[in-house]
Amino acid sequence: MKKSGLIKWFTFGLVLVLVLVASFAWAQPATKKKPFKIGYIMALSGLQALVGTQELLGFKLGVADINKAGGLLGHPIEYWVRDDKNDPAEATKVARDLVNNVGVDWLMGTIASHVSLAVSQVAKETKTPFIVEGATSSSITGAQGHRYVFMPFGNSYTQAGAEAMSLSKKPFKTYALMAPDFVWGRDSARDFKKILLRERPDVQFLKEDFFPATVPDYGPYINQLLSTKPDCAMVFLPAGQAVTFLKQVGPYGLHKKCQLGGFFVTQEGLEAIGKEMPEGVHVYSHFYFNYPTPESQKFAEKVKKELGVTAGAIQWLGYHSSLFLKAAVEKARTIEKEAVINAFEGLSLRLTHCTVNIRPFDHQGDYGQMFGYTKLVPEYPNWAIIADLEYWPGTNLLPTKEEIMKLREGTK
Amino acid sequence: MEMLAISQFFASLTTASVLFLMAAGLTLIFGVVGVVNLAHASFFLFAAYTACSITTLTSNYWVALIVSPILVALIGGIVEMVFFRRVYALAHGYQLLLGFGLSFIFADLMKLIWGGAGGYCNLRPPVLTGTVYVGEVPVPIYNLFLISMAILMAVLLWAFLYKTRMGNLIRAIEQDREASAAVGINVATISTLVFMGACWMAGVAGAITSSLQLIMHGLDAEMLIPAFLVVVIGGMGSVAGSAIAAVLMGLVSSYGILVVPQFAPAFMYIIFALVVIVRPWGLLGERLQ
Repeated sequence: MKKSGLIKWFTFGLVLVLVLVASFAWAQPATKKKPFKIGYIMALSGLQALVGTQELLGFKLGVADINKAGGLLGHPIEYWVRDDKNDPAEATKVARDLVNNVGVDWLMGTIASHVSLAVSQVAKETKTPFIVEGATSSSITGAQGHRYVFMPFGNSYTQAGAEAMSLSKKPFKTYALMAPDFVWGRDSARDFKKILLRERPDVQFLKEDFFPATVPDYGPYINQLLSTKPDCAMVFLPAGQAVTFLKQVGPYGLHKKCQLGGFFVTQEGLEAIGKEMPEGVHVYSHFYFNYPTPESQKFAEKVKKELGVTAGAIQWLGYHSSLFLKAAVEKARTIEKEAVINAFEGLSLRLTHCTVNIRPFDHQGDYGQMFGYTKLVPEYPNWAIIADLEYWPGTNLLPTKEEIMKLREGTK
Repeated sequence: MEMLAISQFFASLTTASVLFLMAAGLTLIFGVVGVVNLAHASFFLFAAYTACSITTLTSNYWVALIVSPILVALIGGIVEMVFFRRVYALAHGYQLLLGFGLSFIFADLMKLIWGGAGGYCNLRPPVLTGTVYVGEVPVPIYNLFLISMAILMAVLLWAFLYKTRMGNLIRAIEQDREASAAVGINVATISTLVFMGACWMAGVAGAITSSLQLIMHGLDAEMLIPAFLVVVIGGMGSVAGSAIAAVLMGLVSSYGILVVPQFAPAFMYIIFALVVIVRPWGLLGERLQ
């Protein structure tokens, strides 16, 4: 080969190497951006673990999708999972560990309200933003709310309130209320009663009782409801306890003697109760796989394909909570904590079957609730589905800014 | 009101049945080997989980009901021979510590095997589903089955303890362990068999209740406390005392719900406190000199 040809090839090679190096150097900063650390706290053992484990799967799915699409403004999400054991003391301990030792940027998760309130305290003290996923006590963003806590998916006002709105259209005149004796149960009973009486001042409450958080045998309580003979018996129970109650109530026939409602059911719960599920029970959920919107169908297919289970409220919650964070970061155009909090305020996000707006003054989402009636159908021979689905938005059910501020003043 | 009183009576018997099955084993172990076994409820939970797995695998409830308590009894036998036998001669503090430690190990083992999420047994046989009516009061057939099983176990246990040679030997050991050994009774083997029997009873309770409630991590601790209350109220070591105390506790908690539902569990503790103050040796226990 001639010398000039050699120089030509050498020059070409050099230019090629330089171009490659330059493009590599240009691409590097995006992948080398520091990770966005999330501390994920969830009930992975104990009473709520049946749903907590599914919620974690939904969260992981959401994070995987975000990371696949380039992360949060190029920052890959990394997360640390901790089991709160459905215990506020344990939740406080793990939240402090995540903030102080792991150095997480945000906290997310929790399904039980008393646990969420405990983590919220840590969030407030350490100024670490916290997105509550599954818990719905209105106290979290109400009386005990603060700058660092967010609750996109409605609360007991929107849940119990939406149920009151839905039932107010029915001809029931007498009601009996029962709920577990902890913050969520009391909030739900209070908010349901308030909204129902607002809509239907003519209804009468024959009974209002609270029982311990865990009850192995609901028989004595079911007997009480039977003897009260209301038109509608509302038993506010979260997913885990709802399964036990609904499994036990069938033989007593309470659901045939009055309208039975108040239960938060998940797909896992429906499958756990199986064919023993009493029909016609008014139940609510955050999401149900056969809700007729294209986005809902798409999400249901995605969960079936990637997690191998029938999509339900719980995976939906876990998945979409991370989307709120993504939307807030994109709106803020930075991952800087205070800026993202500001962006979160007033954020509006379209989900599978509704649009949720985050109220700026209390960080509460106006997500409402999806309701339906349990029904055994031949297409699903092993468990009951939720039929006659309806979604009630939470927009007009939440307390006003003045009411929230008054509540917070009261707790100071 | 009368209807409510009757329905609460059946509900109280359901509660009492589970309490008795748990407490009878506990009190039997205490009576024969003098150990307060804090790991006893672990056997209950292990049987519940095993029953769930067996019903899922075989689709047969009866197989689960028979196999899981036997499996638990065998594990109980191993636990007795490997661990508890070594602390019989030691102070109660060591025995309590051993049981406490084992309960944590069992809890983690169960979490490892079945995960933390818990679950339900969904395969009750058709014959045990549905309702019977006592007058106008609906009583779930499954609850009646549970009550019947507890009564049957109580009768069999009584017959075994008082009408068989083995029962005589057990009662002899209960009265004087050293003298029994001196006259040639194989105390070690009988202690192991009693321990296994007690675990079997806890296993029956676990297998039956597994299709009534959520089986979850931590349920063992929840079951242990009321079972201990029953043992103390009935008198440590007295099976008959445990039966009476279980019924008493069932009645108090079911009728207490009619008065103040959220504080109904407190009534159990009030009775416990009263018994400890007034009659520390329990309803049918032996007064310590």
